[in-house]
Amino acid sequence: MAPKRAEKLVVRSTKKVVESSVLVSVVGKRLTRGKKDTQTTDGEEEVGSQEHLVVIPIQEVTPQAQKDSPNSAITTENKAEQENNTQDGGVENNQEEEEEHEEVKEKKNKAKTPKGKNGKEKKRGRKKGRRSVEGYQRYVYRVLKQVHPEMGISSKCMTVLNNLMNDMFERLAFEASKLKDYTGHMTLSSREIQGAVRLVLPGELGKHAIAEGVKAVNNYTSYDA
Amino acid sequence: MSSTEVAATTKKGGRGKPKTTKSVSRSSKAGLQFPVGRVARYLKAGRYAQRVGSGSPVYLSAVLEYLAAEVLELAGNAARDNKKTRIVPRHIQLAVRNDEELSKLMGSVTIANGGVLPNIHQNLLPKKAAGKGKPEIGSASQEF
Repeated sequence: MAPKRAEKLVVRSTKKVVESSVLVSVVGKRLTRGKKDTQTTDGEEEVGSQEHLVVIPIQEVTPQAQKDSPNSAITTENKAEQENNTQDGGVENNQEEEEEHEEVKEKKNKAKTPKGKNGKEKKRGRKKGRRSVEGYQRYVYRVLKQVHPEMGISSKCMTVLNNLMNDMFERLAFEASKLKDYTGHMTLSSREIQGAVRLVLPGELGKHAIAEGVKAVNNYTSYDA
Repeated sequence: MSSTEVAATTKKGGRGKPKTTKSVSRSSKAGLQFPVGRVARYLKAGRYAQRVGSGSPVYLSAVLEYLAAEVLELAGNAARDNKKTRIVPRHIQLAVRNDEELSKLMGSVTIANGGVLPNIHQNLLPKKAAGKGKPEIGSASQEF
């Protein structure tokens, strides 16, 4: 069974001042295109193919609130914009919320929707923590203090070395992965890494690197807690 | 295989609370500065193989540490030659390009703010002017 298609609500508001009341007719139409999820605002009621007449008392509101009042269904683009506004979270959003609150006080009692869906409430109590970016910076600095204890290093230089470490990691891991595929194994072992080091690093550099790797693996396997 | 294995030893008879020893990182087990656990995670996340052995991140961390130490040592020497106590990208460039093997390894690498090696081709240098009184040898016209 095919899923139901969402309905787009079109609000046709005809204002007639008769004993301080307004007739609002809400007509529902079926969409022939797409399956867009629509979200109704506070004042609207979801309807099927029939019309409803709702009597709403008139209140005097500011002109900006009158502009905001004939809101139709919120599309996905407007929803994204409102989420961006909530992240910025300025004073203007709070002012708009107060003006709208005066206008639609009675409507909210009928259809109580959580404030989070409106996208008008400022999120409080959630601080943006510093995103911890992983890298090799602290380890490079430790090695620097081993080889040159009195030397410092600039941040640009640290970025260069961090990128160098990432590049060498990718080269060695990719070469080891190819060696693993050639032999038909499923496991990336230290034997594949050693072959990759032999292939990638030239001459004496490769020999010294292999010696360091073998020594580290021996220390690791023979470690006693 | 985890980096924080905890060995629990109980008293005689199995009574009392078990004594837990302090967790030891795999880097310290291997005697390395570079992170073994993080490298192992990168190897798994990169999908280089379905399974990753326990020795491969240790080996790879040791190789990366050796390369970093090699580059930093040469760059520190270049900084000291320039009477500086802080390494900048220019010192890394001088260190890498003056070393034959590192230059081959990083042949296709561009270092930001690195500059180039000071080099002027021999043919571009001005020729030394000959002395006024002494005629040049072989300056006469050729005899056929």
